[in-house]
Amino acid sequence: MMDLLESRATAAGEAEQDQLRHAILAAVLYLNELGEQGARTGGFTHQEPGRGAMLPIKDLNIQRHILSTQFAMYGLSSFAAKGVAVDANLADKAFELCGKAWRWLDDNGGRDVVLDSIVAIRMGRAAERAGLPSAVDWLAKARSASQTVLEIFGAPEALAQMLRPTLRSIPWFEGVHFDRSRCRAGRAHRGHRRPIGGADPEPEQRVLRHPAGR
Amino acid sequence: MALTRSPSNGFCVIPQADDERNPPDPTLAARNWADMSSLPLVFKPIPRPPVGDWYISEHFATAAYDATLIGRLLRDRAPGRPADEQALERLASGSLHWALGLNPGVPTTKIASAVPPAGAPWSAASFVYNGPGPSVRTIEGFRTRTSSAKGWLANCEGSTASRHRETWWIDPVDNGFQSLVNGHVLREGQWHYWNIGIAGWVSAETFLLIDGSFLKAAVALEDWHAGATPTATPYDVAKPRFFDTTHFDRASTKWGFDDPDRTSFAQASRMATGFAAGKGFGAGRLTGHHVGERVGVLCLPVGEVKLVDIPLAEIATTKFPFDDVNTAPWAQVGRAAMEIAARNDSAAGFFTGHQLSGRCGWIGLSPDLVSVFDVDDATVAANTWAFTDVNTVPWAQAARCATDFCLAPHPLRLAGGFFSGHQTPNKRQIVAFRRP
Repeated sequence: MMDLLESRATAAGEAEQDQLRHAILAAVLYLNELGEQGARTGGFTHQEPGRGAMLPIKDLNIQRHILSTQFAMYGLSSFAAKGVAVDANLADKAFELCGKAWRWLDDNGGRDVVLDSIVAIRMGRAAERAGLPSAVDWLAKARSASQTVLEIFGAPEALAQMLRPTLRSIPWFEGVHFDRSRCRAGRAHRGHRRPIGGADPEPEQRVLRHPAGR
Repeated sequence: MALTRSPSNGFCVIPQADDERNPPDPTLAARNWADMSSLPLVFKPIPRPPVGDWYISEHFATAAYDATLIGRLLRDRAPGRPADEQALERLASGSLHWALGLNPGVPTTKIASAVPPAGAPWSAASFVYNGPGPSVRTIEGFRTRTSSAKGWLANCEGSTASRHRETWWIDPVDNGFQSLVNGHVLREGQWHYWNIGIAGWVSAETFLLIDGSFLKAAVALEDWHAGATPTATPYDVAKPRFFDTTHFDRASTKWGFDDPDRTSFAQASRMATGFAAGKGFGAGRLTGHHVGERVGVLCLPVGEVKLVDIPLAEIATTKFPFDDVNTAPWAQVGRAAMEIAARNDSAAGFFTGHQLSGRCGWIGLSPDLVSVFDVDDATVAANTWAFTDVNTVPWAQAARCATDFCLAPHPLRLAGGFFSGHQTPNKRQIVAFRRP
């Protein structure tokens, strides 16, 4: 829905725009509720126990919470990065929730480098928008994770030889694509603003030069 | 790229490879990749006991997105390789079209169609519920009290006596919605579509997750070709735009309220300002109208307004001074705002309701945005929300009156308006927002 809002909603009528906005709000509030039901630990519950697609329950439901939390983080990070036009305060809250989810996954063995590469670049963008110093850290995480993803898939015949799960819904290359797109934009930006002496700005300065957004 | 050149990859897709056994077969993925003329090997038994192994649409939607992303990266990093780009586009397109019907097909009895395909036991069908052309049936033959919640008949159901009755645990709105079902299972060495009985969900449940993945991939593929760039806001902030705000919208501004008739002008105005600013607009005015939880706000174009913090000392020099925007009558505050507008080269103005450190937020309105005129007593009296004295009428009622007057059939094209607070015998001043 965030992709539609970002790229298609300008062409929609006012009623359709409102429908989309309300649908996004409902989805985000639902995820927030699942976060609440996770006892505000950063883990997200799943409201449909017994689903065939869910992983087996082990270690007091931790396995199942990991999958729910990963999915919730995927959705909420998108809203944190792009949801200001829908609801700025809710976008800020989504950013905080994703940070908690990231730490919860750390504590519960739920790290996944593909998901990390996507979430980190979105969190970096959200932090930039809000003018937060953590933007530097998130963007560094995004760069590191996307590099790892490229190494995994860059091996000869990697795609052919790895399992390609029927239920896969987290794209392999979304984080890589947006990280690399950001790099290209950054290079073009620096090209225009390079000091006369030719010195390249330090990485942190480059990040902080971006407008705070609001 | 070899995958797209393989003559046996007629559907031009990235094949799945799932193996839940312990340990999995390390050669299975490469085998499915290299030998696409054979039935794929998949070990994803579903449910328990299984009716087949899953080989469903979700993978194809996600794979389409991945192929698109690789193609876009390739174009950016190594331009001038159109053959590779075309190959990736074919993979993306083929993977999306799997769900739309370019797939090995399903048993003809599983197709929902007013005119069932005759003759062949196996037919092409899309996995889009309510889609155009032949599409697969959703879950059937599992009718319990809770799984018979749908209150209307789909075309393919024919009548309540039909054996093809859909299984729904909710009553979805009959508005022509479309949704993707899971898709194939592999059973007894062949493609199958299992939609009957308690396990019918395995192939035939519609799934918001797959809808989302499909849309994401389709949008990315279109944008790849069109070169579209994302926009930060979907709204045209250069024009007035009406919103029906929800309780949540208002609460999120930190100046929440629910009933304009029981809320101070200042509080409501702060909410409207915050809501409008959050959407990228310059300012916002309550229309005074409310139905249920919805409260109307007209957001004003960002280029036609200016926000200025006015010191209380300056307000004190007007003919309508106040020192607390929260307690001053709204009409008096409005008149002060109009006087300040005259001093600031604005056609009109209003206070936002914000007050901090001896300053009050004020919005100046461009002459290009507004028309300021008087209406007589008879005109106001003819309105549903008529009133006799601008100094005693509640702000919300006056706002409704001005809004309805401005939106009524009129030689001027107006988007809304408000009473400025000025009145003389038989004249009350309206500030009306023009439509571009």
